[in-house]
Amino acid sequence: MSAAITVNNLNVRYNYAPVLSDISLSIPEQNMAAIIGPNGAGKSSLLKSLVGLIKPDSGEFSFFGANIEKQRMNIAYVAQRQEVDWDFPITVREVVEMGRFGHLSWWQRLDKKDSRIVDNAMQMAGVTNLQNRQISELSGGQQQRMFVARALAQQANIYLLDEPFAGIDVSTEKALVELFKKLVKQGATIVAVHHDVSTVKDYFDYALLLNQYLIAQGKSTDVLTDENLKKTYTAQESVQDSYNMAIKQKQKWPIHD
Amino acid sequence: MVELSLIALFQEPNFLWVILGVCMLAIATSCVGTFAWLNKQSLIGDAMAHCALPGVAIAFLFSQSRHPLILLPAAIIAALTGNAILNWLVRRTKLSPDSALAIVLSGYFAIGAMILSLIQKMPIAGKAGINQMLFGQAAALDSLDVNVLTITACVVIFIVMMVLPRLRMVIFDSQFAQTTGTSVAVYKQLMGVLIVVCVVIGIQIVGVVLMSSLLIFPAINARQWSNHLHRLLVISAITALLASVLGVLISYYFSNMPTGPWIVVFLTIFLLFSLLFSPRSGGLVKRIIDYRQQTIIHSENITRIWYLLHHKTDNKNTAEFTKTDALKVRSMKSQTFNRGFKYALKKGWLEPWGYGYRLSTLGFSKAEKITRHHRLWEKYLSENKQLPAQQVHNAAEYAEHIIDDNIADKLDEILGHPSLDPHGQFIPIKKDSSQD
Repeated sequence: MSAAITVNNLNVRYNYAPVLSDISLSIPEQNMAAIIGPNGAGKSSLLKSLVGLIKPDSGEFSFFGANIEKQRMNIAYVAQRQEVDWDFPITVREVVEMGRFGHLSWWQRLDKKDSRIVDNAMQMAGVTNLQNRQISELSGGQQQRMFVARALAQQANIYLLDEPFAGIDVSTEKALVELFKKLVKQGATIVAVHHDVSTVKDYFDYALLLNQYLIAQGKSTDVLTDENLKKTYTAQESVQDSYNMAIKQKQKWPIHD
Repeated sequence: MVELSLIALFQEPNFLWVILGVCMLAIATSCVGTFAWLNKQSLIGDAMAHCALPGVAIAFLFSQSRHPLILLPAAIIAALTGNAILNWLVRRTKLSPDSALAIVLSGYFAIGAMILSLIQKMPIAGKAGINQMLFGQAAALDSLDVNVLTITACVVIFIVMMVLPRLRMVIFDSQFAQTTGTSVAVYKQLMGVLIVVCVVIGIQIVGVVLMSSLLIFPAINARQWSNHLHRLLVISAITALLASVLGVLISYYFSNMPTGPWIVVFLTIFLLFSLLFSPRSGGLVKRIIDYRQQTIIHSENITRIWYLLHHKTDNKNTAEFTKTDALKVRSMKSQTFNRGFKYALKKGWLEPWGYGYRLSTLGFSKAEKITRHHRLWEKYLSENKQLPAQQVHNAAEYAEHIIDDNIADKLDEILGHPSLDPHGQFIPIKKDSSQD
């Protein structure tokens, strides 16, 4: 099985402080992979780097062996729900339609084929009956379904989702997991930041344990050992913390050669 | 005399052209303003207008001409440099956007004001017209100004319509837009340019000082009435159009009146009206509806008191009771009681009888219906939601006013047509509702 996503020596810093250090990973295609780790471990930053929202300091990554620009149409990204303004005057359908814009030129409107794809995406995510609602009227679970529908409308092969199950009702969580499993069966690769260690094995085939460094990666049944989890979830050793702080401090001082 | 001169105004060909130009300006500005407002940039137009002033002043100083094809490009260039400095300050320094805005706005305006006062001391023909840039003077527009204004406004409207879906995506969710390969920076720059162009062409009419109101007020006004983008754009365009035309009319009619302040006065009136009366802003209308709704609930409660009294009395012949009797059954503030009581009399649910008041036939069926709804809800809560009998009363006190015939029938169905509520009181059966 070939790799859908390959990352080599990725380094990301924020305000000089390291967020991700020397990440190398590969996620096999047609898999459902979880990224788990404590708060501030760099999980969201990893996804954001992959879709080009954060510029890494160094490192390379590729999708099916090609760079992001060539694979853009093949990648759908779903950010955390709270990252948009839910009071914005827009309907559910109009949000889902945005999934088609990547396939069109700047002046083009959606045609009949696009509309069918949008209908289909809403159907799969279970938001068809909400399509004319204002987004301010949605519950947390409905908001997430809408964003998943938008990702489906992109007709991508790789789905990158940031905490898709955070703050949603149980029935939506179950429905989304079923949907994701169906997509994987049809050939998609799904990578999701996940916060609930207890459900990782049920939902995901593959797991990446992250805490600034990549602690472990592999089949979720293999890598979710007590030892790995302990390594991931115990606080950074104090020497690592001091080292991170030192980098931040030193960069602020003018350095003369 | 008023009508006469108004007719004369409309017969003046130049005036009609000015009105047309102002309408196009209003539409263009309100569209662009709606997007600026959605992008939480309410004050950007203000900054850009102030930045344009030194451009206009310098161009006039050197060319000694008020030709729009000299002044407008100069104004646009000045405003764009202001915009660039603003963006640079926000990106490269730790200044917050509003501090950066304040610095750029006042800095440019100071330079502009200095050059304006310099111009006033010099013997240049037409220098009075330049001073009118501060508060706007529609009457000072000549046909060339109007042509440039109209054509530019049409181009702006066309561009906005072309990029509308993309612009909306970029403002709503710029991260997502970026991941689909949309160049967010290009759209943000385009927005900046559109704002600058609108502001610059509007300055002659509205003036530097108040220009931003024509961008933002219509959007805020529209938001009180709709939360759908297309309707927002239409409502804000209408708002801007009405205010601008009225402002221009007044400034023409009373010569030497500046146009900008009048437009803003009308915009403010529209906005006040919306804030008071629109349902969204919880305005006056909503309060009136709430008050009326409360009165109805009180009067239904009072009617029901009579019904209960009626059933409590062993002697069915004594049908009349006083207000004191009623207040013994259920304590209410006398003010609210009287409000509801009056409404019940008005509706004919209660009628004067003997030494007090009695239920009318209409009032009897009304009270019976409410009682039925009350007791059905109590039954429902205790049977289907397992609430203890002593807890269901308060919920039902509220629900009895909400439940309609349709819901009551469904409840009756679900509960298997019960005859007693959880407290052992009978549940009135449904009567033919034709008399209601």
